[in-house]
Amino acid sequence: MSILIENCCKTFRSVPVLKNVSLQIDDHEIVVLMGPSGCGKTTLIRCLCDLETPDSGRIMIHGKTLFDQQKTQDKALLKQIHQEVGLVFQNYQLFPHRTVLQNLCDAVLYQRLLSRDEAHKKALALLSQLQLLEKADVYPSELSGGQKQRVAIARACMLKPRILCFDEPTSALDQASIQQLFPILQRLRESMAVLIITHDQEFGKQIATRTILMKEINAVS
Amino acid sequence: MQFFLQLLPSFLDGLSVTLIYWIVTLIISFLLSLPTAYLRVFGGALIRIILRFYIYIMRGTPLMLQLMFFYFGLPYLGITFSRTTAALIAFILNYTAYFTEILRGGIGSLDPGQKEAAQLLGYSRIAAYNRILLPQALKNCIPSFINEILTLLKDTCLVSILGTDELLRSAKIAAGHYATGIPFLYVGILYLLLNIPISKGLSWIEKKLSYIR
Repeated sequence: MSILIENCCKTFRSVPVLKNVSLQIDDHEIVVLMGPSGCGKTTLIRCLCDLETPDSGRIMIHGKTLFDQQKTQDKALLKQIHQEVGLVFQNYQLFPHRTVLQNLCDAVLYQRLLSRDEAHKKALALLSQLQLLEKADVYPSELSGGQKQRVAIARACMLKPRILCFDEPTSALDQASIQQLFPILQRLRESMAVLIITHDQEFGKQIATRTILMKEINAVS
Repeated sequence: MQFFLQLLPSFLDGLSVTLIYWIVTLIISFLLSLPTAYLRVFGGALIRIILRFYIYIMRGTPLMLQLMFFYFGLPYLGITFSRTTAALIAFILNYTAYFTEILRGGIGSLDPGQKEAAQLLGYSRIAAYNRILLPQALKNCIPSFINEILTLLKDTCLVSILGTDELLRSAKIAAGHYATGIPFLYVGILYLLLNIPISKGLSWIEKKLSYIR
């Protein structure tokens, strides 16, 4: 089991956004989470990535506790868990002052997970798989939306996450770029679980191994 | 021209003093503003309050008054500085406050997702600031920095209040000696000429960094 969320609640300025949300995602699944704006999809994904802290409940990632209201977490363990969850932001959040290759390699070099040569080799292999090899030395401002998204996927994959989350992956893409995304997501699924939040019902139905409507799991919705 | 050449040695002496104040203040204030901007944005509540108070004082009082405080005021408290040290302390504290606020604005203008992306990629808060946020913020701040750097060059003439012979004071002395206002014109032209490489150089850097967007 990749992710286990139990009775998660989150309130912003006394407005409940998540209320007793429970969800389970297994390895090699592509779970698509759908629902109207403001129903808590993004908040849920942000809680999974530890960008928001739930008010109550429990989040387990591969059997390790990311959040538990009852327990205080060890920082070293949390850092380890963070690496297991990757996120491709809606607007990608590539670092504009770094080239594509540097965007991919900087984090693993900073964390000393790989040597410079190993990092470059791995990054170039990923870029090659995503048909971006010729873009290795350009800056993000020179890329199209689809290319930026693939770089963001490659950057997340450099840290070998076991779950990769996507926040509205099709919102800024044209039809051709969306079509390119299907085989990439299928390939990602072979080595990890994928969680996608989207408004795009057609895309969601086509790619999902399981579709969840947020209102089914969130009492607030 | 002959008159200008006659005055040139004293102008060059004054210019060297002006440039020393300008360069030393610029370098130290800029370097100090990097950690203070970090603390202003990401520091604890108490640190942020202290910095806000310091910036309020530095921006809310005239630089000339600050110069006078460090040279003429502190001796009343038993603290004495040389003219140069007092002037440099005043300039550095004043300009660090301005640079800090400029950088704070630059950091504030960045997409908050940049910090979150860095956090997700395992960067510590300080590493995220140094490697991700600061380079982008610095690029965004170049136009404001150009303004402050040019203002600093002109502000250096305030040290004349402490009796230091900087560029403008050398013109004042010459004007008094020869009973003519022409030395002021020469000095005005020298200030303008100094502005050109500074603003051109920084604009060139800004253009070179245009890929950051």
